[in-house]
Amino acid sequence: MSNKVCVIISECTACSDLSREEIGEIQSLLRTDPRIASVIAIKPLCSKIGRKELRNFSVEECDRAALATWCLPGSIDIARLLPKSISSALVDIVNLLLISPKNEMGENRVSIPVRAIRASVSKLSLAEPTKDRRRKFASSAIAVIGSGDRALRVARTLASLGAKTKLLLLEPRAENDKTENLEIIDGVTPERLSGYPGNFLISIMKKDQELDIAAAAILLVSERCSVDISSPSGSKLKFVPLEQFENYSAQMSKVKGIVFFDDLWAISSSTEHVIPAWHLLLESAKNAALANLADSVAVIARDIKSTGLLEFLWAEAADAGVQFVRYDDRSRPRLEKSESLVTVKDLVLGESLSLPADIIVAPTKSRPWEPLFIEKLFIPADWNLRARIKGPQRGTAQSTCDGIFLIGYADFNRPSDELEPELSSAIVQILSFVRQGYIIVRGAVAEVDEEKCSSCMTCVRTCPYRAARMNENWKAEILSEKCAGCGSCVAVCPSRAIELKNCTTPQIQAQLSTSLEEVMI
Amino acid sequence: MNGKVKVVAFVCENHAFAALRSISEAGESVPESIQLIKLPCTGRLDTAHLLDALRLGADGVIIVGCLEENCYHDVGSMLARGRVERCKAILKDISIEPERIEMINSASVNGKGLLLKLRQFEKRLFDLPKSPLKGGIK
Repeated sequence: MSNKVCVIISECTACSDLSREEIGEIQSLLRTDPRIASVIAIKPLCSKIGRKELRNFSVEECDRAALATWCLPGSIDIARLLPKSISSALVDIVNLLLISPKNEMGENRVSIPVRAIRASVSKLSLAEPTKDRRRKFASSAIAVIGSGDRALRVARTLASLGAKTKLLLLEPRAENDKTENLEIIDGVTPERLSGYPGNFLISIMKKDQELDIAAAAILLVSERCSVDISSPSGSKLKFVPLEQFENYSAQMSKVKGIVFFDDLWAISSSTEHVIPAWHLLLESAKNAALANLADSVAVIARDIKSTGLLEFLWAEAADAGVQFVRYDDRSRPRLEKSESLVTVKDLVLGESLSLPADIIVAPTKSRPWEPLFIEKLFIPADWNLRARIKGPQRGTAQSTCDGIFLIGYADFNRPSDELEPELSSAIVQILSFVRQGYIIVRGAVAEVDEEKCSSCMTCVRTCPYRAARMNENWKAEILSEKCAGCGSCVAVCPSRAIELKNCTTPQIQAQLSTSLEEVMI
Repeated sequence: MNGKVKVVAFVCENHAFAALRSISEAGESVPESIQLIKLPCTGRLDTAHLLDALRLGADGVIIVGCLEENCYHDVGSMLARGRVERCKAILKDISIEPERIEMINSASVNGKGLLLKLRQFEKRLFDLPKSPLKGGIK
């Protein structure tokens, strides 16, 4: 069965460089093409429409305008905008018109000349848009995964607001909680996450039994636990957990040097990552330097985060006399336990430094499952195994995958007072997500040609949304429900097995050749 | 070089597009010689597209993407940078000026800076000799 396409042409002469005759020509041209089902000319937009007038547009007209722009490569891709409201999508379309250069009359024109339409029609490879792209949620349950009081509090709040909540506690729990809408499963280990937003299936292990739990959305709550870092026996070195440093420093005597580490991983050679609490670390280092607790105070860090107010904290700490040393994974700091020295190669200076270290302060171990967990559950994360979050860095709790919400996992561990607004924002976001009841699959998603796929897994590694996976045949598969249509996998695929709908290689080629046509003649 | 130049600009539809929008809101427009081709993300950009644009007779190619640390799709700008660098190496090998390809990272609010960079690029192209591929190779 061949794909049929409906083409709608903007008849508005004010914002288009098409004359009436040309439109007639295009219509007759298009009608002869067997792949085109119908051709309609409408007057959806013109450059004179301001933002005020947009509100007066009827929904029907908006839909037609949206469809028109979707069909034409080179115009704004409405499919990607569909999750937005139609009016905001329309604003974007009008903006596209405004960008195009003005002609002699001072009018804006759309840069979709007749020849572009001809070229794109001849190379049109639009897949048939699915009629109903809504995916309804199989269940309306929210799974809260975490441990400790914070997870319990969030789960109770969600339950009291009427959402069906399943709390997966990582530790066994003695007392039994009987709250309406709330189901507590304790002592579990999450193993796998399958499905897509709204239809997640979490596989958990409970006492050697595997259970599957269906949920529409997932909320991960991190809990900082205070495991002590034990000092190595028979050495003068003293390890102090970052959280306890304030109490410890009140009663300590002056020493030669204090070294703050961002990450225990640097010296412990185990693969457990520790997420540093930058605020606390910088404040402690600054206070230690100001209180003159040691001759030298140094902070050894792998990468320097300077989001928001952290910038000032770095500056304040530097003014107070804290020495900053930056290292990378190829040259990790070495610990001379007998001499209480830390040798580290400074990346900036390019030379080795020896820092006196009587006291080593590092963030306490986060739960060992945290990074593992992010990896196991296939949550989008960066190379440091910190979850990627959507939008601006603060005030959001949503991971780049729809339906997965995070408290305290993203970017770095925050002080608890900073977590509170994130917590309430997560509750609001997750409730509005679940109550919507469906997600819309974007029109522009990547698709894999299984015959061409060579199972190299490059796309799986590249996809920032973790939408690419290997299926049972060991071929790449891209979940259209998770795909955001960025096209990163398309360009990296060595066997050219992936195509992005609505932005296929032939379509880009057609745009290229039409925009350079004059040069070629 | 005399006469007109033709520049193809691959623009990511997120922050770079917003920057272009702020140019038009300020009452200015991008240079006439620049043809915009919109991509969902600069990560979609293939090395082949860049070389194709030059092969078809463009004098220069610009890639406008988000700032690397603030890329809308996280990795797109970073991937694109690598490809641009690879393309420049190829151009150098076949003795075409690598300056014909340039990547600009722009914040969504920095329309003014972007316009300045676009104009500078256009101006620089005039100083280069005529492209040996001008006229296009089929």
